[in-house]
Amino acid sequence: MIETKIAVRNLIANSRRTLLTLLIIVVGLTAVLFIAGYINMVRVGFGELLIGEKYSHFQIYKKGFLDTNEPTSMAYSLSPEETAKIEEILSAREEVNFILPRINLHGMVGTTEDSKIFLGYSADPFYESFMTYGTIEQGIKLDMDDPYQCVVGKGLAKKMGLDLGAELLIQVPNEGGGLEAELVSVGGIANFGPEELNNTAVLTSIDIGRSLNYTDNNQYLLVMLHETQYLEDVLAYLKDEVARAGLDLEFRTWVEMDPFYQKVMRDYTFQLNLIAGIFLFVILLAVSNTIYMSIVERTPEIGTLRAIGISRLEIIRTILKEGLILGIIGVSIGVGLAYLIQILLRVVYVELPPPPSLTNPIRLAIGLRVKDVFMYSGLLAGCSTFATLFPGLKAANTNIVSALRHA
Amino acid sequence: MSDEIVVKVENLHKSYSMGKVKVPALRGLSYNFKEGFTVVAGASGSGKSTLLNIVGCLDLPSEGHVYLQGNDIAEMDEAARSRLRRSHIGFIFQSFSLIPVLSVYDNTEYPILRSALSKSERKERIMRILEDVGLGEYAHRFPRELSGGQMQRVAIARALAAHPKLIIADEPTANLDSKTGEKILELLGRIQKEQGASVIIASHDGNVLERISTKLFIRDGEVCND
Repeated sequence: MIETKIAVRNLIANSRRTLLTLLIIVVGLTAVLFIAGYINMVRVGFGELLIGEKYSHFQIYKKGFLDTNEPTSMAYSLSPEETAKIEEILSAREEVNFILPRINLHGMVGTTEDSKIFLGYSADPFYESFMTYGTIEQGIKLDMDDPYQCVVGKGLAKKMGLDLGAELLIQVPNEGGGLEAELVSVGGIANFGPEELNNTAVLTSIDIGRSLNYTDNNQYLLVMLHETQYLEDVLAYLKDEVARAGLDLEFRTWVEMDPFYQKVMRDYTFQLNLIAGIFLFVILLAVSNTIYMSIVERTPEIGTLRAIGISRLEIIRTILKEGLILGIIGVSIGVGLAYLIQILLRVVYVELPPPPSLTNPIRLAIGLRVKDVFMYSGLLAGCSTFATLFPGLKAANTNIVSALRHA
Repeated sequence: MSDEIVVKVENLHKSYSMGKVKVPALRGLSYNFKEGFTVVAGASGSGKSTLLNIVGCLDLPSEGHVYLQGNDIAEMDEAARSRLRRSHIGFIFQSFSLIPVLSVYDNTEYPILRSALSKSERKERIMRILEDVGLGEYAHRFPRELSGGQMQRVAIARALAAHPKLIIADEPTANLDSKTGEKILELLGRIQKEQGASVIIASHDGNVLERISTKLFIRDGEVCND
C-alpha cells in the first residue's frame, strides 16, 4: 500500500512528465486500437461485400469441375436430381437462406450491327435478386417473369449502342465446336465496378444458360446463409450428409475463392503488428526515460529508503508500480477514446471507395473486438511496467552512502 | 552508563578510489562503543561520517571488523544488513532525509510497516512517538510544510519507530540554528534515557561536545583520544 502511495504521489509530483508519458501511451493505444478496429471492419465489411456480391458463403460443384480449369464447361455439372438432393439436405438447416443455381457463360453477343466478346453467367432470377453484385443504372435486374431479358454492363451497352429493350444475340461455343445461340433483350444496364467487367458482363436467366448448353443441369450452386458465423457448422453438416447420400461433390468457401481478400488481410495484420511494435518501442523509451529522470532526481530519497532498511526488492516494486499505474491509467483513457471514436463513426457517415472488383462503397467504421482491446491494452500496460524495470534495478543498486551525499 | 559494548570496531580501514588514487578515510581505527551517548568528534574529513556509515551497516570496511549484536557486519550479505538496519538501527541525517511525498505519519511508520505489529499497534506506537517529539498535531502534514527543526524531529521519530538498539545521528544539528539544535539534543537525550537506546552522534558542534561526556576524537582516520 505504501509503495502504491509513493508511486502515485511521485507521479503527481512530476505531473508534467507524467502527463506527457500518459499522452504517448494514450495516443499509442488509441492509434493501435483504431487500426485494429478498422482492419476488423474491413475483414467483416469487405468479407460481407464479397459474400453478398460475388461468392455467397460457399459454392457446391460436381467433383472434377474445379480441376478442368474451364469455367464454362458443363462436363461436370449437377443434375436436377443431385440439385434436388442437395436442396433437401440443406432444407434441414435453418441457417441456410437460399440456394442459387448458376451456369457460367463465355462467348459472343451481337446485334445486327456489332458483336463483342462477353463473360457472364446465368442465374435463377429470383435468388439472384438477393445478390448485390452490380448497381442497376437503367432498367431492372433479371426479370423473374421473362427469362429472355438480360442485364449488360454499362460499358458494353455503350460500345454496342444498346438501350433498354434492344435485342441481343448470345452465342456460346458447344462441345462439337459449333455455336449455340439465343436471342434475348436488354432488361437492365448495370455498373459492375471495374471497366473490364463493365465492357464484357452479361447476365441471363438460368433458363437461357441451360438452353444454350442443351441441358437441365446446373453448373454449380451458391449457398447463402443468414449469418457468416454459421458457415463452418453448416458446411461440416453438408459434407457429412453428402457423403452419406453418395454424392460426389466438392466445395469452396468464399475465403478460399478470393486469394486477394486473404492477401489483404495478411498485409493489414502485418502492418498493424508493425505499427503496434513501433508504438510499444516508443512507449518503452518514453516511460523508461520518465522514470529514469525521476529516479535521478530522487537519488537521496532512494538512499534514505535503503538506509532505513527498505530492501532492494521493495525499491524495485515501488518503481515498477509507477510504470504499472502509468500503464493502467494510459490504457484506460486510450480504450475509452477508441470506443468514443467507434461511436462517433457510427453517427458521422464517412464513405470509402469500393474495394477492388466490387461495386458498393464501404462506410468508414471501426469494429473493436474485445480480444483485441484486451490484447493490445495488456501489451501496452505490460510494456509500460517493463520499461521501469531497468530504472528500478538501477535505483535498487544505488550506493547508499553516495546517494545520501546528494541530499 | 553501563559498560556493555554495543558496537565493537577493530582495526578499521576504509579507503576511497579517486581515479587511480586511493584516498584513506579510516586507518586502523579500533573502538568499543558502549551503551549510552557517544559523540564522534573531529574536523571535516577526519572520517567521522565514514565511521558512522560503516557502524550503521550503510557501507563496508576495506579491512577490519565491526561487531554489532555479536555479528561481524563485514561478513553479512546486503539483505541481512538491510534487515539489521531496519530492525536494530535508527538513522538521523544532517539533511533530515524525509520522503517528500509521504506525510509525517507515513514517514515515521515506514520502517515498521513490515514488522509483526498490527495496524492499530503501529498507529498507537507512531502517535505516541510523534507526541514525544512534539509533533502529534503534525501527523498528516508533509515535510514541505515543516520547519527544519520539525523535520529533524520527524527524522528522530522515524529513527525511534522500530525501537532500535542503536541510533546513529550524523551531524543532526548542523543544518539547524543553535536554539533548535539545542532542543533536538535535549529531545535525543530524553529519548535515550526513556528508551534505553544507545546513540552515536557525529558532530563538530561545540554545544554537542559540551553536553556529551563520552567522546571519540578522530583525526585523519585514526583515534586521537578516547
